[in-house]
Amino acid sequence: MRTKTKHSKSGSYSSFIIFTFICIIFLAPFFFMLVTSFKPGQEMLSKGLTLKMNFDAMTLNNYKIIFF
Amino acid sequence: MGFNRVNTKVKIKKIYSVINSVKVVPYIFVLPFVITFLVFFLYPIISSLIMSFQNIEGFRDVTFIGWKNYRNLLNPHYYNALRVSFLYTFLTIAILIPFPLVLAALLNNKLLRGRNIFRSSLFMPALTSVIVAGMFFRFAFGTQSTALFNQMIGFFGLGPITWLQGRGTGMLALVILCVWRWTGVNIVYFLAGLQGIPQELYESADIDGANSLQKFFNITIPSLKPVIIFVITISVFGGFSMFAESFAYWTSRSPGDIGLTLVAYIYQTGFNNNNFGFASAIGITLLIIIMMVNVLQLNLFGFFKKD
Repeated sequence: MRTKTKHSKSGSYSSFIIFTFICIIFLAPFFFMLVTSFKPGQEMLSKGLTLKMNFDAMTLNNYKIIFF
Repeated sequence: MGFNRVNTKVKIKKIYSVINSVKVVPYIFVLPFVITFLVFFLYPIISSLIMSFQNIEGFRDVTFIGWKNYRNLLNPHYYNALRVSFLYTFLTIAILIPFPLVLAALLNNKLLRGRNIFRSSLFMPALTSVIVAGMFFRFAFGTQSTALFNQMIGFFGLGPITWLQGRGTGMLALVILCVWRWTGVNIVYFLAGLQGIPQELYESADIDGANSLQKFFNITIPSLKPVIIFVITISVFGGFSMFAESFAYWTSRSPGDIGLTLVAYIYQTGFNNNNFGFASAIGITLLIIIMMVNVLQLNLFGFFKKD
Protein backbone atom coordinates (compact mmCIF):
# COMPACT_ATOMS: atom_id res chain seq x y z
CA MET A 1 0.00 0.00 0.00
CA ARG A 2 2.84 2.33 0.92
CA THR A 3 4.70 1.66 -2.33
CA LYS A 4 1.45 2.31 -4.23
CA THR A 5 1.03 5.75 -2.57
CA LYS A 6 4.66 6.55 -3.30
CA HIS A 7 4.15 5.46 -6.89
CA SER A 8 1.02 7.61 -7.38
CA LYS A 9 2.75 10.60 -5.75
CA SER A 10 5.72 10.35 -8.11
CA GLY A 11 3.21 9.96 -10.97
CA SER A 12 1.44 13.15 -9.98
CA TYR A 13 4.81 15.00 -9.80
CA SER A 14 5.67 13.91 -13.33
CA SER A 15 2.15 14.90 -14.47
CA PHE A 16 2.70 18.29 -12.83
CA ILE A 17 5.90 18.82 -14.83
CA ILE A 18 4.25 17.68 -18.09
CA PHE A 19 1.27 19.99 -17.55
CA THR A 20 3.47 22.94 -16.64
CA PHE A 21 5.34 22.47 -19.92
CA ILE A 22 2.12 22.07 -21.97
CA CYS A 23 0.51 25.10 -20.30
CA ILE A 24 3.56 27.25 -21.09
CA ILE A 25 3.18 26.27 -24.76
CA PHE A 26 -0.57 26.92 -24.72
CA LEU A 27 -0.26 30.27 -22.95
CA ALA A 28 2.78 31.51 -24.90
CA PRO A 29 0.63 32.98 -27.73
CA PHE A 30 -1.15 35.21 -25.18
CA PHE A 31 2.20 36.47 -23.92
CA PHE A 32 3.31 37.20 -27.49
CA MET A 33 -0.02 38.94 -28.23
CA LEU A 34 0.53 41.16 -25.19
CA VAL A 35 4.14 41.97 -26.13
CA THR A 36 3.15 42.59 -29.76
CA SER A 37 0.52 45.09 -28.69
CA PHE A 38 3.39 47.32 -27.51
CA LYS A 39 5.31 47.05 -30.80
CA PRO A 40 5.01 49.48 -33.70
CA GLY A 41 3.12 48.04 -36.70
CA GLN A 42 6.09 48.30 -39.08
CA GLU A 43 8.19 46.02 -36.88
CA MET A 44 5.60 43.24 -37.16
CA LEU A 45 5.57 43.52 -40.95
CA SER A 46 9.34 43.61 -41.32
CA LYS A 47 10.40 41.06 -38.69
CA GLY A 48 7.27 38.96 -38.17
CA LEU A 49 6.43 37.71 -34.71
CA THR A 50 9.82 37.31 -33.09
CA LEU A 51 11.24 35.88 -29.87
CA LYS A 52 13.67 38.78 -29.49
CA MET A 53 12.29 41.74 -27.61
CA ASN A 54 13.47 45.25 -28.28
CA PHE A 55 12.33 47.10 -25.17
CA ASP A 56 13.59 50.46 -26.51
CA ALA A 57 11.25 50.29 -29.50
CA MET A 58 8.17 49.48 -27.41
CA THR A 59 5.40 52.03 -27.51
CA LEU A 60 1.91 52.77 -26.14
CA ASN A 61 0.81 54.20 -29.47
CA ASN A 62 -1.45 51.23 -30.31
CA TYR A 63 -3.41 51.77 -27.08
CA LYS A 64 -3.53 55.53 -27.70
CA ILE A 65 -5.14 54.83 -31.08
CA ILE A 66 -7.78 52.60 -29.47
CA PHE A 67 -8.76 54.86 -26.56
CA PHE A 68 -8.09 58.43 -27.73
CA MET B 1 -74.85 43.07 -24.96
CA GLY B 2 -74.75 40.88 -21.80
CA PHE B 3 -75.49 37.79 -23.86
CA ASN B 4 -72.53 38.58 -26.18
CA ARG B 5 -70.15 38.98 -23.23
CA VAL B 6 -71.22 35.62 -21.80
CA ASN B 7 -70.82 34.07 -25.25
CA THR B 8 -67.24 35.42 -25.58
CA LYS B 9 -66.38 34.17 -22.09
CA VAL B 10 -67.64 30.71 -23.00
CA LYS B 11 -65.59 30.79 -26.21
CA ILE B 12 -62.40 31.81 -24.36
CA LYS B 13 -62.98 29.07 -21.78
CA LYS B 14 -63.41 26.56 -24.59
CA ILE B 15 -60.13 27.67 -26.23
CA TYR B 16 -58.32 27.44 -22.87
CA SER B 17 -59.67 23.95 -22.24
CA VAL B 18 -58.54 22.84 -25.71
CA ILE B 19 -55.06 24.34 -25.21
CA ASN B 20 -54.74 22.79 -21.77
CA SER B 21 -55.89 19.35 -22.90
CA VAL B 22 -53.41 16.48 -22.70
CA LYS B 23 -53.65 15.99 -26.46
CA VAL B 24 -52.69 19.55 -27.42
CA VAL B 25 -50.16 20.62 -24.74
CA PRO B 26 -47.28 18.39 -25.98
CA TYR B 27 -47.59 19.89 -29.47
CA ILE B 28 -47.46 23.43 -28.04
CA PHE B 29 -44.29 22.59 -26.11
CA VAL B 30 -42.69 21.13 -29.22
CA LEU B 31 -43.81 24.03 -31.44
CA PRO B 32 -40.82 26.40 -30.75
CA PHE B 33 -38.38 23.66 -31.81
CA VAL B 34 -40.44 22.74 -34.88
CA ILE B 35 -40.66 26.40 -35.99
CA THR B 36 -36.92 26.94 -35.41
CA PHE B 37 -36.09 23.74 -37.29
CA LEU B 38 -38.32 24.65 -40.23
CA VAL B 39 -37.18 28.26 -40.52
CA PHE B 40 -33.46 27.93 -39.76
CA PHE B 41 -32.65 24.38 -40.90
CA LEU B 42 -35.10 22.86 -43.35
CA TYR B 43 -35.91 26.02 -45.34
CA PRO B 44 -32.20 26.93 -45.98
CA ILE B 45 -31.41 23.32 -47.00
CA ILE B 46 -34.36 23.12 -49.42
CA SER B 47 -33.59 26.61 -50.68
CA SER B 48 -29.92 25.68 -51.32
CA LEU B 49 -31.02 22.48 -53.03
CA ILE B 50 -33.23 24.49 -55.41
CA MET B 51 -30.48 27.10 -55.92
CA SER B 52 -28.00 24.34 -56.80
CA PHE B 53 -30.04 23.67 -59.97
CA GLN B 54 -30.12 27.35 -60.92
CA ASN B 55 -27.83 29.89 -62.53
CA ILE B 56 -28.07 32.94 -60.25
CA GLU B 57 -26.67 36.26 -61.37
CA GLY B 58 -28.02 38.96 -59.09
CA PHE B 59 -31.41 38.71 -57.40
CA ARG B 60 -33.69 38.65 -60.46
CA ASP B 61 -31.69 36.87 -63.12
CA VAL B 62 -32.39 33.29 -62.09
CA THR B 63 -32.63 30.42 -64.59
CA PHE B 64 -32.97 26.66 -64.12
CA ILE B 65 -29.99 24.86 -65.65
CA GLY B 66 -30.58 21.30 -64.44
CA TRP B 67 -27.50 19.33 -63.35
CA LYS B 68 -24.98 21.74 -64.92
CA ASN B 69 -23.68 23.05 -61.55
CA TYR B 70 -23.08 19.47 -60.40
CA ARG B 71 -21.31 18.61 -63.67
CA ASN B 72 -19.11 21.70 -63.16
CA LEU B 73 -17.96 20.24 -59.84
CA LEU B 74 -15.67 17.89 -61.76
CA ASN B 75 -12.81 20.39 -61.80
CA PRO B 76 -9.31 20.44 -60.20
CA HIS B 77 -10.24 23.19 -57.69
CA TYR B 78 -13.08 21.09 -56.25
CA TYR B 79 -10.93 17.96 -56.07
CA ASN B 80 -8.22 19.98 -54.32
CA ALA B 81 -10.73 21.46 -51.84
CA LEU B 82 -12.07 17.97 -51.17
CA ARG B 83 -8.55 16.63 -50.57
CA VAL B 84 -7.62 19.52 -48.23
CA SER B 85 -10.86 19.17 -46.25
CA PHE B 86 -10.49 15.39 -45.88
CA LEU B 87 -6.82 15.63 -44.86
CA TYR B 88 -7.46 18.44 -42.40
CA THR B 89 -10.40 16.57 -40.81
CA PHE B 90 -8.40 13.34 -40.58
CA LEU B 91 -5.33 15.00 -39.03
CA THR B 92 -7.29 17.08 -36.52
CA ILE B 93 -9.30 14.05 -35.39
CA ALA B 94 -6.14 11.93 -35.17
CA ILE B 95 -4.67 14.49 -32.74
CA LEU B 96 -7.72 15.98 -31.06
CA ILE B 97 -9.12 12.71 -29.72
CA PRO B 98 -6.16 10.86 -28.13
CA PHE B 99 -4.23 13.95 -26.94
CA PRO B 100 -7.06 15.61 -24.95
CA LEU B 101 -8.23 12.18 -23.74
CA VAL B 102 -4.86 11.43 -22.13
CA LEU B 103 -4.62 14.96 -20.72
CA ALA B 104 -8.14 14.71 -19.28
CA ALA B 105 -7.33 11.35 -17.67
CA LEU B 106 -4.24 12.90 -16.06
CA LEU B 107 -6.16 16.01 -15.01
CA ASN B 108 -8.77 13.82 -13.34
CA ASN B 109 -6.16 12.70 -10.82
CA LYS B 110 -7.01 14.33 -7.48
CA LEU B 111 -3.38 14.17 -6.37
CA LEU B 112 -2.32 16.52 -9.17
CA ARG B 113 -1.49 19.93 -7.73
CA GLY B 114 -2.88 23.02 -9.47
CA ARG B 115 -5.16 20.99 -11.73
CA ASN B 116 -7.77 23.78 -11.85
CA ILE B 117 -5.10 26.21 -13.08
CA PHE B 118 -4.05 23.70 -15.73
CA ARG B 119 -7.67 23.16 -16.80
CA SER B 120 -8.34 26.88 -17.22
CA SER B 121 -4.98 27.47 -18.94
CA LEU B 122 -5.70 24.77 -21.51
CA PHE B 123 -9.24 26.09 -22.06
CA MET B 124 -8.16 29.72 -22.57
CA PRO B 125 -7.29 29.40 -26.30
CA ALA B 126 -10.91 28.40 -27.01
CA LEU B 127 -11.99 31.83 -25.77
CA THR B 128 -9.97 33.72 -28.37
CA SER B 129 -11.49 34.69 -31.68
CA VAL B 130 -10.38 32.65 -34.71
CA ILE B 131 -9.27 35.80 -36.48
CA VAL B 132 -7.15 36.99 -33.52
CA ALA B 133 -5.55 33.54 -33.13
CA GLY B 134 -5.21 33.22 -36.90
CA MET B 135 -3.44 36.59 -37.18
CA PHE B 136 -1.07 35.63 -34.37
CA PHE B 137 -0.14 32.33 -36.01
CA ARG B 138 0.08 34.01 -39.43
CA PHE B 139 2.81 36.31 -38.12
CA ALA B 140 4.40 33.46 -36.13
CA PHE B 141 4.61 31.44 -39.37
CA GLY B 142 6.07 34.45 -41.21
CA THR B 143 8.60 34.04 -44.01
CA GLN B 144 11.27 36.14 -42.25
CA SER B 145 14.13 34.36 -40.49
CA THR B 146 13.18 36.35 -37.37
CA ALA B 147 9.62 34.95 -37.31
CA LEU B 148 8.76 32.80 -34.27
CA PHE B 149 8.60 29.33 -35.84
CA ASN B 150 11.63 29.99 -38.07
CA GLN B 151 13.59 31.04 -34.98
CA MET B 152 12.45 27.87 -33.20
CA ILE B 153 13.61 25.57 -36.00
CA GLY B 154 16.78 27.70 -36.14
CA PHE B 155 17.69 26.28 -32.71
CA PHE B 156 17.93 22.87 -34.40
CA GLY B 157 20.19 24.25 -37.12
CA LEU B 158 17.47 24.44 -39.78
CA GLY B 159 17.07 27.34 -42.18
CA PRO B 160 13.95 29.52 -42.49
CA ILE B 161 10.87 27.94 -44.14
CA THR B 162 8.11 29.67 -46.08
CA TRP B 163 5.49 27.93 -43.94
CA LEU B 164 2.36 29.36 -45.50
CA GLN B 165 3.46 28.76 -49.08
CA GLY B 166 4.12 25.02 -49.01
CA ARG B 167 1.40 22.36 -49.19
CA GLY B 168 2.65 20.27 -46.24
CA THR B 169 3.76 23.17 -44.05
CA GLY B 170 0.54 25.07 -44.78
CA MET B 171 -1.50 22.09 -43.60
CA LEU B 172 0.75 21.82 -40.52
CA ALA B 173 0.07 25.49 -39.73
CA LEU B 174 -3.70 24.89 -40.00
CA VAL B 175 -3.56 21.80 -37.78
CA ILE B 176 -1.40 23.57 -35.14
CA LEU B 177 -3.91 26.43 -34.94
CA CYS B 178 -6.80 23.97 -34.62
CA VAL B 179 -5.07 21.86 -31.96
CA TRP B 180 -4.15 24.98 -29.98
CA ARG B 181 -7.75 26.24 -30.01
CA TRP B 182 -9.70 23.02 -29.48
CA THR B 183 -7.63 20.84 -27.12
CA GLY B 184 -9.13 22.58 -24.07
CA VAL B 185 -12.70 22.14 -25.30
CA ASN B 186 -12.24 18.41 -25.89
CA ILE B 187 -10.60 18.08 -22.45
CA VAL B 188 -13.76 19.57 -20.91
CA TYR B 189 -15.94 17.00 -22.74
CA PHE B 190 -13.71 14.11 -21.66
CA LEU B 191 -13.47 15.37 -18.06
CA ALA B 192 -17.27 15.49 -17.87
CA GLY B 193 -17.36 11.88 -19.07
CA LEU B 194 -14.61 10.78 -16.69
CA GLN B 195 -16.46 12.16 -13.70
CA GLY B 196 -19.41 9.91 -14.54
CA ILE B 197 -17.36 6.69 -14.32
CA PRO B 198 -18.08 4.89 -11.01
CA GLN B 199 -15.01 4.71 -8.74
CA GLU B 200 -15.97 1.14 -7.77
CA LEU B 201 -14.78 -0.04 -11.19
CA TYR B 202 -11.28 1.29 -10.52
CA GLU B 203 -11.31 -0.05 -6.95
CA SER B 204 -12.21 -3.55 -8.11
CA ALA B 205 -9.53 -3.30 -10.82
CA ASP B 206 -7.03 -2.34 -8.10
CA ILE B 207 -8.01 -5.43 -6.11
CA ASP B 208 -7.47 -7.53 -9.26
CA GLY B 209 -3.98 -6.01 -9.50
CA ALA B 210 -4.53 -3.97 -12.69
CA ASN B 211 -1.96 -1.29 -13.46
CA SER B 212 -2.74 2.27 -14.65
CA LEU B 213 -2.49 1.43 -18.36
CA GLN B 214 -4.79 -1.59 -18.02
CA LYS B 215 -7.32 0.53 -16.14
CA PHE B 216 -7.11 3.23 -18.82
CA PHE B 217 -7.67 0.84 -21.74
CA ASN B 218 -10.16 -1.51 -20.07
CA ILE B 219 -12.23 0.87 -17.94
CA THR B 220 -11.71 4.50 -18.96
CA ILE B 221 -11.89 4.20 -22.76
CA PRO B 222 -14.92 1.81 -22.90
CA SER B 223 -16.78 3.97 -20.36
CA LEU B 224 -16.04 7.09 -22.40
CA LYS B 225 -17.27 5.58 -25.69
CA PRO B 226 -20.41 7.79 -25.96
CA VAL B 227 -18.33 10.93 -25.28
CA ILE B 228 -15.69 9.84 -27.82
CA ILE B 229 -18.43 9.27 -30.43
CA PHE B 230 -19.87 12.72 -29.70
CA VAL B 231 -16.45 14.42 -29.95
CA ILE B 232 -15.67 12.63 -33.23
CA THR B 233 -19.08 13.62 -34.65
CA ILE B 234 -18.61 17.33 -33.88
CA SER B 235 -14.96 17.13 -35.01
CA VAL B 236 -16.00 15.71 -38.40
CA PHE B 237 -18.43 18.57 -38.83
CA GLY B 238 -15.87 21.11 -37.55
CA GLY B 239 -13.15 19.75 -39.82
CA PHE B 240 -15.20 19.81 -43.00
CA SER B 241 -16.72 23.21 -42.25
CA MET B 242 -13.37 24.87 -41.48
CA PHE B 243 -13.01 28.24 -43.20
CA ALA B 244 -12.07 31.07 -40.82
CA GLU B 245 -8.62 29.62 -40.04
CA SER B 246 -7.78 29.37 -43.74
CA PHE B 247 -9.15 32.87 -44.32
CA ALA B 248 -7.04 34.30 -41.46
CA TYR B 249 -3.89 32.76 -42.97
CA TRP B 250 -4.37 33.46 -46.68
CA THR B 251 -7.56 35.59 -46.98
CA SER B 252 -9.64 34.33 -49.90
CA ARG B 253 -6.87 32.96 -52.17
CA SER B 254 -3.92 30.82 -51.08
CA PRO B 255 -0.85 30.04 -53.23
CA GLY B 256 -1.56 26.87 -55.24
CA ASP B 257 -4.91 26.52 -53.40
CA ILE B 258 -3.12 25.00 -50.39
CA GLY B 259 -5.68 26.46 -47.99
CA LEU B 260 -8.72 25.95 -50.20
CA THR B 261 -11.22 23.94 -48.18
CA LEU B 262 -14.76 23.12 -49.34
CA VAL B 263 -16.24 26.03 -47.37
CA ALA B 264 -13.50 28.37 -48.64
CA TYR B 265 -14.43 27.23 -52.17
CA ILE B 266 -18.09 28.03 -51.44
CA TYR B 267 -17.06 31.51 -50.27
CA GLN B 268 -14.84 32.02 -53.31
CA THR B 269 -17.46 31.00 -55.87
CA GLY B 270 -20.38 32.62 -54.04
CA PHE B 271 -18.99 35.94 -52.89
CA ASN B 272 -15.96 36.52 -55.13
CA ASN B 273 -17.33 35.13 -58.41
CA ASN B 274 -21.04 35.84 -57.67
CA ASN B 275 -21.97 32.29 -58.71
CA PHE B 276 -24.42 31.37 -55.96
CA GLY B 277 -25.91 28.43 -57.85
CA PHE B 278 -22.56 26.68 -58.13
CA ALA B 279 -21.74 27.59 -54.49
CA SER B 280 -25.03 25.94 -53.44
CA ALA B 281 -24.10 22.79 -55.38
CA ILE B 282 -20.79 22.63 -53.45
CA GLY B 283 -22.75 23.19 -50.22
CA ILE B 284 -25.11 20.31 -50.97
CA THR B 285 -22.19 17.95 -51.71
CA LEU B 286 -20.57 19.09 -48.45
CA LEU B 287 -23.78 18.28 -46.56
CA ILE B 288 -23.89 14.80 -48.14
CA ILE B 289 -20.18 14.16 -47.40
CA ILE B 290 -20.52 15.19 -43.72
CA MET B 291 -23.63 13.03 -43.34
CA MET B 292 -21.97 10.04 -44.99
CA VAL B 293 -18.76 10.29 -42.95
CA ASN B 294 -20.71 10.67 -39.71
CA VAL B 295 -23.05 7.76 -40.48
CA LEU B 296 -20.00 5.65 -41.36
CA GLN B 297 -18.17 6.46 -38.12
CA LEU B 298 -21.32 6.03 -36.01
CA ASN B 299 -21.86 2.64 -37.67
CA LEU B 300 -18.22 1.74 -37.06
CA PHE B 301 -18.60 2.49 -33.34
CA GLY B 302 -21.79 0.43 -33.18
CA PHE B 303 -23.98 3.43 -32.41
CA PHE B 304 -26.95 2.00 -34.34
CA LYS B 305 -26.68 -1.46 -32.78
CA LYS B 306 -29.43 -2.43 -30.36
CA ASP B 307 -28.13 -3.70 -26.99
